[in-house]
Amino acid sequence: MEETNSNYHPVSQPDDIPTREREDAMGGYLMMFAAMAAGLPLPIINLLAALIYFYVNKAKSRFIKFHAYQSLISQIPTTMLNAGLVFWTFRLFFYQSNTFDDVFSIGSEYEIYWGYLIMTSIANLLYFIFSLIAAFRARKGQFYYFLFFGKMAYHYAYHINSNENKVIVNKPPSI
Amino acid sequence: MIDKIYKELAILLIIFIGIWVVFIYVPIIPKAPENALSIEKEQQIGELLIETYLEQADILNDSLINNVVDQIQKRLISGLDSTNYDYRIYVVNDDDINAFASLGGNVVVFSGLLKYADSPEEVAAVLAHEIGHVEERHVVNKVVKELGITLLLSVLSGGDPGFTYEIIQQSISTVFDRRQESAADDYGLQLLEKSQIHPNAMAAIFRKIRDEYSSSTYETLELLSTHPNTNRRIKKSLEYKTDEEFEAKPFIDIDWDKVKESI
Repeated sequence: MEETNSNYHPVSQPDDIPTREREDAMGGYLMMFAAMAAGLPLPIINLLAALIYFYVNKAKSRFIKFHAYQSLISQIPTTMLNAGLVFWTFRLFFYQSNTFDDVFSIGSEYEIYWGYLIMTSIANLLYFIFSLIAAFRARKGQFYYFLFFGKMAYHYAYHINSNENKVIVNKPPSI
Repeated sequence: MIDKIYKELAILLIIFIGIWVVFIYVPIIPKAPENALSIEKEQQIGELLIETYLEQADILNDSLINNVVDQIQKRLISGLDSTNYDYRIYVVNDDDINAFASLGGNVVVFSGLLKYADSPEEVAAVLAHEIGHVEERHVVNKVVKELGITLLLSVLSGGDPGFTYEIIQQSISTVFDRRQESAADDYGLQLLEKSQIHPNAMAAIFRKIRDEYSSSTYETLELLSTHPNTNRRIKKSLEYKTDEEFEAKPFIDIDWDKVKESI
């Protein structure tokens, strides 16, 4: 706790956060859904959109920075899983191989592929649900910490950089 | 605090890799996708497919060859205890040494195979293997897996002809997995025995095909290309234990040299 007090900026309370900020923070989550729908065939567009949104909004306030960053980093793994799925699906479709049967003893390529497909679906579903919850919380001026990503985003947005408060004192040259 | 978050990352990774592994073993898709298509429907689709295929194929219409294939087919059918399929075997002019089973018990033999085989028994061995694929429903399994049952059924309601052709391609270039190949071999060997054809004929034709193609890295032969372990298959065929009362009955009415000349 002490560490938190000394190394991190205090978190703002719901009443102190203006509506404008809350909406920008919520937008970080919601715009991903639009971008994700647009970028489905090539799941890289949503990542670009998230990056742009993050850089445009991060300077506005720590609260927005936290939410935008959390939204950005939490979708990176999901996006990578989706890209892998698209790639694998095309590969299976255009190039048949039985090499997996020889390499892995746990199952045929199809079985491994279906496991991956289901895992990716679950990842997307979880991302979707938690993003919605986070968006609503942000709208209310609250925090919502995802597992792992939440702490990372908090650290990123609220950590006090040691150089941050250094007061620069001008001195005359030493004679 | 920042050090501790890696514990959470580890938890996330373990959860998701766990989900992946679990669903490799617990498949959501039914293990037997072929059950989605009844045999009646399969035969209807199979008929449509083979018609479309034969329209653009060069059918070999030679009374001698038809007669020979007919005899082999009759012999093999007599070995089947019971079957839901109405087998039809077509001979197509093509130099590839190949044969394939399409949906609904339609089997296509390339003339290259007839030319290459040294006896009707060897042809019967290949056909028995293909019948194995049909009876074990491997073709349906593959096509349903690849294309989905809805698309497949849409052919019956007059789907677009391009798609019909696609399914044909799919069933010709069908790559069975090794378990299926092995099952078809087992089925074929048993069928040969019941049809009073010596199961070693399968080893004979496989060995020939292996020797023919082993020199080239390019695997033209679909019949064997998916079988990394041809030697093991040959061995299995050679070691197949026939019943003590088994007695091979040769195809006395077939003059194989004449057949080969006529192709």
